[in-house]
Amino acid sequence: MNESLLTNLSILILLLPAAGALCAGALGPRHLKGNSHWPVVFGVGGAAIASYILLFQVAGAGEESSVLIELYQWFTAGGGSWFNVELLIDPLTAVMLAVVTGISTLVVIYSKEYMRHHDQPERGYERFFAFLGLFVFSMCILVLGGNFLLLYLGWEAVGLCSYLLIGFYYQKPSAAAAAKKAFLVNRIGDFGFGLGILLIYITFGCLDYATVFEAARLGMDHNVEALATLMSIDAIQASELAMTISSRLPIIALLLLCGAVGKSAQLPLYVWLPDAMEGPSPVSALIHAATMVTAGIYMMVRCGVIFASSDAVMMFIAILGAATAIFAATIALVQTDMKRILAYSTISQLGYMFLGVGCFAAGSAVFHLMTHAFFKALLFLGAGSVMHAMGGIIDVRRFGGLKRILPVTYLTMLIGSAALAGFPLLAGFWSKDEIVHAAFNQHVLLGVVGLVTAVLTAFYTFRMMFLAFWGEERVPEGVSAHESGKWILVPLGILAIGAIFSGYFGVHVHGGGFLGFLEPHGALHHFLEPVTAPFAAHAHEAHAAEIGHGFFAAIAHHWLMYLSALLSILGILVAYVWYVQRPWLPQVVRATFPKAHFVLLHKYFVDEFYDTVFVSPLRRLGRFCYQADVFLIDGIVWFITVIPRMFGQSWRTLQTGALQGYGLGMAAGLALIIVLVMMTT
Amino acid sequence: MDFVSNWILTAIIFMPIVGAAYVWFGSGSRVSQVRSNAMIGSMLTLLLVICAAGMHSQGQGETVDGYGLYHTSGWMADGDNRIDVNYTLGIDGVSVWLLLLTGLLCPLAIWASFSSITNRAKEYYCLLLLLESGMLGVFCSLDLLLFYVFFEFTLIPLFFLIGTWGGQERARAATKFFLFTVAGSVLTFAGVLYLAFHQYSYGDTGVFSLNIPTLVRYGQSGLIPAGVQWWIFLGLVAGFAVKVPLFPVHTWLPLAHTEAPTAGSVLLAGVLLKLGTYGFIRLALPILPEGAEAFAHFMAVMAIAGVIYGALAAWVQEDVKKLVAYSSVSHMGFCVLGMFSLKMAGMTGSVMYMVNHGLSTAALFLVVGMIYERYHTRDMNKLGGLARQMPVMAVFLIIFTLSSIGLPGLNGFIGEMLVLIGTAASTETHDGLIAGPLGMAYAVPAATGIVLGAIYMLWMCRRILFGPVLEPPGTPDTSAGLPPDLSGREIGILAPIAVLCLVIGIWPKPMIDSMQPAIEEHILASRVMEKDINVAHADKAMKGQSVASNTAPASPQADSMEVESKPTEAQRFTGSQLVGSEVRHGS
Amino acid sequence: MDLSAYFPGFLPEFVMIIGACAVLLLGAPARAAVPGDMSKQTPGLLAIVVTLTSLFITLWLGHPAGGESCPPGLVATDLLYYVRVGGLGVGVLILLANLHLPVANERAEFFSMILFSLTGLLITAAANDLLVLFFAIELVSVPTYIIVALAREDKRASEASVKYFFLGAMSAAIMVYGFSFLYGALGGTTTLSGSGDSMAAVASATDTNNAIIIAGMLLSFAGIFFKLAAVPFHSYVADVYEGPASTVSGLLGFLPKFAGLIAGVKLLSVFAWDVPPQVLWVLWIVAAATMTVGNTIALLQRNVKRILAYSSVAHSGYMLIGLIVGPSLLAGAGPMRDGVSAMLFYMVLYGAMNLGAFAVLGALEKSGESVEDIADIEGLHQRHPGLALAMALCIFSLMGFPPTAGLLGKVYIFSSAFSVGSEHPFGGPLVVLAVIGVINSAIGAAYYLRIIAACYNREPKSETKIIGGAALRLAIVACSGLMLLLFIKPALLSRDAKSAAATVVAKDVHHTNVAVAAKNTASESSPTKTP
Repeated sequence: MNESLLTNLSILILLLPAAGALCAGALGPRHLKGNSHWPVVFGVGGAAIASYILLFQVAGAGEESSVLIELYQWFTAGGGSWFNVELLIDPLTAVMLAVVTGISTLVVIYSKEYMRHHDQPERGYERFFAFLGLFVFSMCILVLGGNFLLLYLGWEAVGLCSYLLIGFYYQKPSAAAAAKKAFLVNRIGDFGFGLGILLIYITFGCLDYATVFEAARLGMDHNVEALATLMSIDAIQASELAMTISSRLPIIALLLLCGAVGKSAQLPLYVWLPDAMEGPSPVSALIHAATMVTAGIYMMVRCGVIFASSDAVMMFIAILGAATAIFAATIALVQTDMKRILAYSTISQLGYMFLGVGCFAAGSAVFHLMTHAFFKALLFLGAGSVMHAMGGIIDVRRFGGLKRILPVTYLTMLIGSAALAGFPLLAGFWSKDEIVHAAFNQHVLLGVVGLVTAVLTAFYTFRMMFLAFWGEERVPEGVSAHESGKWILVPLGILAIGAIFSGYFGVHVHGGGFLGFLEPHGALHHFLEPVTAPFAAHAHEAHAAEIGHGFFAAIAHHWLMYLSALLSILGILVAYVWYVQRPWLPQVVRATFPKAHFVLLHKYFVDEFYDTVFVSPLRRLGRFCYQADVFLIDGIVWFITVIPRMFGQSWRTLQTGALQGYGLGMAAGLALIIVLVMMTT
Repeated sequence: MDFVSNWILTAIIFMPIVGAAYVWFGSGSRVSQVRSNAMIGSMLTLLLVICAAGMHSQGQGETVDGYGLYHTSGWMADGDNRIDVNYTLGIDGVSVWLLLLTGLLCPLAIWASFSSITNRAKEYYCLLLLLESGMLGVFCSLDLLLFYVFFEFTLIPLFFLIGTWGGQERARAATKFFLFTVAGSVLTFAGVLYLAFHQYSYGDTGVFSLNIPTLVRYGQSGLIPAGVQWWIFLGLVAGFAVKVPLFPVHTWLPLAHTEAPTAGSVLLAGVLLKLGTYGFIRLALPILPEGAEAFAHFMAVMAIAGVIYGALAAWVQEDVKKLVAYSSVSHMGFCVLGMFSLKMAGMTGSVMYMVNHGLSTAALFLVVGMIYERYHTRDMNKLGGLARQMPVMAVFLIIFTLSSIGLPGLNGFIGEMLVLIGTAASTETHDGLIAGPLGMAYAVPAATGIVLGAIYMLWMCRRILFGPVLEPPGTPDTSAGLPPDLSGREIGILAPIAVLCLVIGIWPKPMIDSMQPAIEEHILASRVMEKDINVAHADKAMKGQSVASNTAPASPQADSMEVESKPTEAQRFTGSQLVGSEVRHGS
Repeated sequence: MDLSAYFPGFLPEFVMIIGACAVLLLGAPARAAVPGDMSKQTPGLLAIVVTLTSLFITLWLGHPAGGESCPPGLVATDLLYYVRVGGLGVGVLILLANLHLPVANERAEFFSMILFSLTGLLITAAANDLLVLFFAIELVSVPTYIIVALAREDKRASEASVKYFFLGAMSAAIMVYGFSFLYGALGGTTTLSGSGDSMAAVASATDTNNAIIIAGMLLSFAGIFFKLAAVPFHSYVADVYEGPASTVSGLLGFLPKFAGLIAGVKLLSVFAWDVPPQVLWVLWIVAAATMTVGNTIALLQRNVKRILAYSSVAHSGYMLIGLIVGPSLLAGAGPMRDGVSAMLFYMVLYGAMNLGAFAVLGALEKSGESVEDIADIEGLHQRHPGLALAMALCIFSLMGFPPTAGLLGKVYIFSSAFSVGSEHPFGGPLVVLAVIGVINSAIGAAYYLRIIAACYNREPKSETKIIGGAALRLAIVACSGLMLLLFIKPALLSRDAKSAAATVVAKDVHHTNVAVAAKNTASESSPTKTP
């Protein structure tokens, strides 16, 4: 590969959005005002172009597809080795960059129109674009970073951008609270993540990917000689190191997983994501659907060596993913806020990706990540378009039958919904199907959960669609609804195209069988193979060990695809029946299972649970600490200061002022001294 | 040039005093004249500090034991060459950054007082300058008594600053602050004297010396029995811990901060708290290696308790200033934790943390002061949505909040990460130092501080900046000529700090490069591993001759080059070589 | 007896005696001859001239060469030189501070009494005979009883004087009783030291650990404790200091105390500090109790004069540490192991800073009343910034706080205690005593801080105005300036204090304990010295 070109490209990818953000932030308020989007459009767009060039460079490189670019020395823990600012370019990075910058560009363009009302830029217009640029910059650092510290930097920086953008309407108390919640819940995950990085450091003595992964691999294989060579230590030390590595890797994996769970909104840390919908819709589309939330998946795939080393951890990830997928899907069934439905759907889809990673199908997870980015961004942007038209109202109970008013939005969203629902031949179908496959390979229950979730997904997605766009035409009072302009519709169209066709990156043409000419595991998977190899290696072992499921897998390989296609259509049909043909049915169901509905409507009371179990006690503890300061510690201090005073008081009582008393005191004192001395002599 | 390099540290220490004298006698009765004179005095001091830092990095002037710009004149020695209690100054890679921090914050604090101080301005600015002089003196001193003198002297101006220009309870706050600190530091005093006696009796110098390099060399030589080290360590810790302040002797801090005028809070949080940690680093750790190791667990537990306790207590405050004050308790816990890892990473992190905390917390107090000047309240129940009223202020407040919670890319992160790495890796031997006393078990609870830090700082941001606008009736008060949002002057105060926060976060290498040789030579010398000692011995052999003949030994440049040249490209993972050796050196 | 032979060596003392008599005698004629205001000033000015003359003569004579011919019972040593410099120096400040006193007509008497007291101080330092020592101490004390009574026309002053006199007389009796024991126990000679049959020579040859000597020492020290206002002989202090004018209280904290300490040095030097352990323990306990009691009672006071009075008790405790440590005797002893010089340094320092603080009080008047309560000095800084600054300097010095000499005084005292070392039989207890002292300085900071806080951090409540003339202000400036000066250049005083301490024990006298300890030190410390 042309290294200097890659270096320049990657630096461009980092600097262009940053420069755009800086430009918008610095010049926006005074000079650019309503034109503040331009620097960011150019910055992010330029980064996107550079990303695609980079993608093709990497794709054309073949075997040697990984390059490390050292920019400068950052800081050091002593002993001579530095943590560098270094960029790693490999297929995974290239794909992630392409997704991130591509979708960002569309979202930025979309925002140009979305963030204005009656062609007047909203308050904070320039701020919005500056934050968007900053976000893209942070996300690029996250995926480009060549060591765990830069990963952490990007990780926290995207969290910050998310915080700033969720709280964009900071005067809304709910938005401010949601922003804070997002940052904090993420920080809780990052607590584990940071500890994982610390543990990596104390195990391997360094934090760059190349060395850590290589050492981890050798350590797991107990390849002492190679390990000794890699770390420049003698064989005995190397064998001890190998022991340490194999014992610590699962712990490291679990700790890193904490971070992924927080960032990718999995159980039990998903609670911030629905609230994050307080941010403007483009933000939801970009950050809370397409890019940032997938950082957890990216990280797990990146650290494949570490995660795949422990079957137990992998199983845990798979279970977590499956549980999240179905859990979030059930909540999404009853929500009425369009963006919230989509948010729970995002959580559910991220659960799929976790499931994929946990079932050693990292390539499929990344595939789903990519397709999901397209259709979920599309759906959020579409929802934004609806919201824009409805004057900021997004509750599907308050409007309906919009398909004639918003035809383009409707059409594109329909494509997105179908893709999300796993409608055959659309993007979501291929990627989701692969994951369900892998799940069946791992454990039949996981696969079943994956299928059930698929039905639910199809159902709630189309429930939303039918409620919003079908039926009687209803518009909130005082709203003159109209279709959005081209700045909004063009990105929607492009994304819709992506929602249809992006799935074909992951399939390859193959002869035989109904629909069988398209087989999973296509170009994308091959491209990613250098990165996902650790998973593949371990998957082999895992599957070999479970012969019984291997049999099932063999059948599933051909039939599962049809089954899941059927199920998704089934889900859509049920939704159609319930919400279009017999709109009274949902009422009946609700009345039949009032408790279940109540629980679902209140999202299983998880927020309340957290509040009672963690937040309130912690705050009480805080109050206790402060009270302890005021009363206990200062009380002790006061007591200490009182001792000399008490001394003084007791002595002072002898100060009578009377001459005789003084004389007597002197004599008594002297007598005491003499007696004491004579007794000791 | 020799003359300049000899006296520049003295000039730094006395420049503020000269400035104070000029403010007092030379500026008439007009407040504007008074404050501009004070500003000039502190700016000149900053200029001198920058010159000194430059000269130090160039290796100019006399270097003794690795301390640059070394200078000594007679004081208590009075001709008796068996007494070495002298006016001895010198700086190294650690103190130079603290000098720069002090030099920077003082003009900013003075500048920040322009609008808020009208009453008895002349005295106020004189006291600020005297305070600056005392703080600079601490960081320049290489004589223990001189150190103690400056260490204590800083109390006097601050006592008056709090007591005269403070809030409602200023008298109580000033007294509490003073007595807490004095109660601790008298024990330090006893420890110092006992240490000097011990050096005289059992060392081989034959001199009653309070010279810090001498004492460090003596402490490192291992001649102080462990039992004695404990006692001296306890004595020294008593004073420094109160100053830091370490849990549970921190209760003076919130009160002092809330009552102090803005500039007082800024300097108190920005610099004065660092005197305690600096004392640990300069004295307690290098001179009493065994004592430090023996108490490391205790100190670390106290530090972590402070981290968590301070954070929780900060969270429930209604007064912004009190919140930031408790955050200092929490942050300084980190700082202490890092140094007691007795590792290069932790130690570097500690020093970085001192500088970073100095910048970000000082800036937070400045912002709070600016809000207070407009709204006359610091109660978060009465304020809200100020981001709309003061967008520029909001930007700064968010930047400093993020710096304070250790967002990567800003300065706070480097220190925090290094502290945690040092703590976690304390039992390991990656960095060429023998294993330290702490370990992962300490890093985990300390890391909760990161989460808690985010909780209370964002809580504060949310309540002040976000939500619907909430202002006390009759505010913002622009009667003093302040605009509703920050004025150019206020932006000028905050901007340099914000820029530094970013620059240090992205490019900390210059700081680390100059710090680590000093840390290795002056603080961790006794903890270098055997294999490295052999190398070091070869270096020291040459140096030893020059030390023996009492001429200037190798310049710090030479040292830093040695350290620098160690890692070559082929050895990029030198750290990992040492992984296995933990068994050899481990407990 | 031909006095002229002794004249050159003791010229300062002669000048003082003659001057004191002259002031006393000239007082009445001057009152008659010089009219008006001038007559009031004459005795005081004359006293200052006399003291200054004596001081200049001292400086001109320089350190005693050792060859001076001395009258029987007196000896000219560096100790005498130090007391001349320090005592007369502070003496000048005392006279300056009191120059506006008394309001009544007994000025000549007043100033001559001060001169007599100063003379007594000098003779105490010169005494080489038990009897001379006793007379000299009483020459210091007796005039102070009168001074207290003369200083102002107030019932309290007379009452204080009476109390002071009666208790003083009682303590003098105890002391002389103790002296008689010593006289008996040490072979019937009253010469303190020197070749031939002096008490020191006898003591070095006999076992000092016998009951008579212990009793003698204890009783003698009881008298000294009274002069020092040490526990349990401290109770008079507050009443006596409160009674007279403030500037006189400043004097009371210096003259008797200094004389008492020198007497203590003289007594201990007879034994070369090789006294029975019981005596050291008594001194130890008294020192600890004195510091603690003084400081803790002072915490409770609201009257500034009483605070300073009890602080004076506490400072006696600190100085007693130096006295117990003794001079640098051991072969291996470090340069800071010199309690006597530390004590001497501290004493002069204390005299100045204490006088300074009292003088600031004395310079204030509140509607004709003297300023005593802490409320009276609130906001002093706003009314009289200069006075407040002087007060702050003196108080910080008393607190032992930089940048004042008080800190260095504490450095000398405490490091001398530490420097005794664990090899010395009494080294361990001294370290403990020093730590007690250090903790006490922290307690002391609390009440000193109240004074400073009152001056600076509060709003003025009462209308105070400055009284006293330029002389008083000069004294205040000098006292507070001295704190800064001695901080920057402690050698001005400490060098003389060291040479003075070096002479308190004759070089050729070797006492058993000390010699043994010295040997121990030498043998134990040598192996620890690494090549």
